[in-house]
Amino acid sequence: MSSVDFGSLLAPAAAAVLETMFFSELLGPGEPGGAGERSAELEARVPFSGEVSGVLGVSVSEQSARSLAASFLGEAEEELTSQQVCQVVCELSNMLCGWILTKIQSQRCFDLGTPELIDSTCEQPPGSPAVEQTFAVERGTLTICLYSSVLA
Amino acid sequence: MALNIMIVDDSPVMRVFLRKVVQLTGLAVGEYCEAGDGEAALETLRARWMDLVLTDINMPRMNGEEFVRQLESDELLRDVPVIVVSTDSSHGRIEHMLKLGARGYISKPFLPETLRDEIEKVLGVQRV
Repeated sequence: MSSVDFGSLLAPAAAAVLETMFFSELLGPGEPGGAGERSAELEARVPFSGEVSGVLGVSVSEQSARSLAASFLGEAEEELTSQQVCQVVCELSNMLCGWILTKIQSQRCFDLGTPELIDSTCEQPPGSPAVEQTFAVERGTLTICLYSSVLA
Repeated sequence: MALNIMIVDDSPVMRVFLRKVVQLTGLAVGEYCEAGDGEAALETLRARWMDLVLTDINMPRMNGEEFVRQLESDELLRDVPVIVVSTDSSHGRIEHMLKLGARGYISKPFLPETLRDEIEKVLGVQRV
């Protein structure tokens, strides 16, 4: 299993999840936020294990996260709490990870850990992401990255 | 006839989403019940009948697999139809959950009509 295999799945995963569950769409490749913009992003990580083990990370611009949460929950943005928006980002990371892993190992079971919202106090996974891609979405960007010691 | 539906998922926002999607399907729903894990769901089901249960797999305290297993082993609850709603759509997992007693399986992400079709298929099945 190579990082190329995983990398080729990130865009289809994001498109499938956003279109079916969030009634939204990918707008094409995006530019990752610079260091000064990191505080305006929400980040979640979900560990996984099975044939391949690792951690999937998802970062979403805060405005995009609110927009996606409003679509997901069928509520106006101003009615949403911060906790709801964070939970939706966690659920987004959960679904992206599940979609990708099912494509990689469709015959065998895999285990997803509990998605967690990440703040600056959380420890970074060891090493650099094996795969990382940023996409433009409504009102911001969505970055998906994968940490796994197995991938080349 | 209106259905009483239970939604079992540790994610509060996922429970909201499922409730809204069921509403979008146009199915007549009388009452919704929610639980954050299998153990809480079992407690509720032992007190009130539900026409259908939608359950996640990956939950704390009691996961969906154990929840379905316990339902199936309970004489009073084994006739409650269960549809699994999970991010895991591997053949192994689907087959395993159906063997344990789930009547249907929906993989996330899914369209509202997919959930509706699965609910109609499951509720139309007669147990032998």
